[in-house]
Amino acid sequence: MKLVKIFWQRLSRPSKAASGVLLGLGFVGGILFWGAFNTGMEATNTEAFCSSCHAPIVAEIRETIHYSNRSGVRAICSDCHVPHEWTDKIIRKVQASKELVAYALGTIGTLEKFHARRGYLANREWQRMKANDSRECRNCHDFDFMDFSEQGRRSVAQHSTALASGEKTCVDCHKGIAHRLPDMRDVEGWQ
Amino acid sequence: MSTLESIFWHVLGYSAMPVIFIVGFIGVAAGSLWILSLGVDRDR
Ligand code: HEC
Ligand code: HEC
Ligand code: HEC
Ligand code: HEC
Repeated sequence: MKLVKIFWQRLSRPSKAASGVLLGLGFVGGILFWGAFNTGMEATNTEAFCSSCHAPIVAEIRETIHYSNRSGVRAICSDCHVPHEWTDKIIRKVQASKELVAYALGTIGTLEKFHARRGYLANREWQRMKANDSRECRNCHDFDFMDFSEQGRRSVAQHSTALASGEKTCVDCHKGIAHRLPDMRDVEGWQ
Repeated sequence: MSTLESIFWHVLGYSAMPVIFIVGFIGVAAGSLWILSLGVDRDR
């Protein structure tokens, strides 16, 4: 109790001028640090950044619905590949250190190498989305707001059954929605 | 991704968060001290 009292007396009576300056510096410094940190997070989420290593993929995406469509709404790389939740985002960014190593090793350095490794990488991405129930798709596509009267018959037949029941998730059916598919010979349920 | 790899990245990711905060704190502290040192009374 006595200790708490002494502690509080200390806190409540610092030198007036110095504490004002210090608090101000801490406040401004805090804002600057967080601003710089967020700018860094944003900069590493842009398509320009991803394209510095994934040029073949960026070229492909221009022909897909998520690049150009009647509504003019775009999904960029990070919308589908980087979680939006802060903690998950940090984990994914830390995980990207593996991509840096792979880049240095040149695992997908040439087009041939990329095509050879593509199936493996796609598989990892499908697994990830299976595990999180296609969370990144659902940031934009919300099942609750799908209007079945507006969708095609083929769509409704699948969405109102396998999707509604939770038996399947988006990427189980919508593979290759943004990229050319890899060699699909070993993928389950594919003919 | 294997379970092991997933655990690995989660451990690394969660440990990165306090590191970010602490590095930020040290950075701001160092910057502030440097600014304060500019105004120090050199004759003291
Ligand atoms: C420094 C270069 C570099 C940058 C920048 C980069 N990547 Fe990669 N990325 C790679 C390499 C190399 C691989 C292949 C990893 C391997 O061979 O295991 C890869 C793999 C991937 C994979 C495959 C999945 C997996 O788990 O390995 C995805 C998805 C991916 N990158 C998305 C992105 C996105 C999105 C961005 C932009 C936010 C991005 N990358 C920026 C180099 C990079
Ligand atoms: C950034 C938001 C966003 C994200 C994330 C997103 N989409 Fe889309 N998606 C759109 C928009 C916008 C359209 C086009 C709407 C239109 O004009 O018809 C679209 C269209 C589609 C279509 C319709 C294709 C067609 O030919 O009509 C499918 C299927 C689809 N998305 C699946 C997915 C899947 C699967 C994912 C996750 C891997 C995903 N989307 C992630 C915004 C998004
Ligand atoms: C059980 C398989 C299945 C699942 C799971 C599934 N879809 Fe579909 N989806 C389809 C089929 C089949 C079509 C029709 C494609 C066609 O006709 O070319 C379709 C069509 C669509 C369309 C275009 C709708 C239209 O008719 O214009 C969108 C958008 C779409 N899906 C988004 C999603 C999203 C987002 C998810 C996850 C929340 C999802 N789908 C889950 C099978 C599925
Ligand atoms: C609409 C969501 C969506 C967008 C936008 C998107 N991706 Fe993907 N990406 C996927 C899905 C789903 C997969 C899993 C493989 C598949 O279905 O094609 C994948 C797979 C990958 C892979 C693994 C290798 C492969 O080709 O399958 C890489 C690398 C990758 N994406 C990078 C990128 C980059 C770089 C961008 C931006 C130019 C991007 N993605 C944009 C959904 C998306």
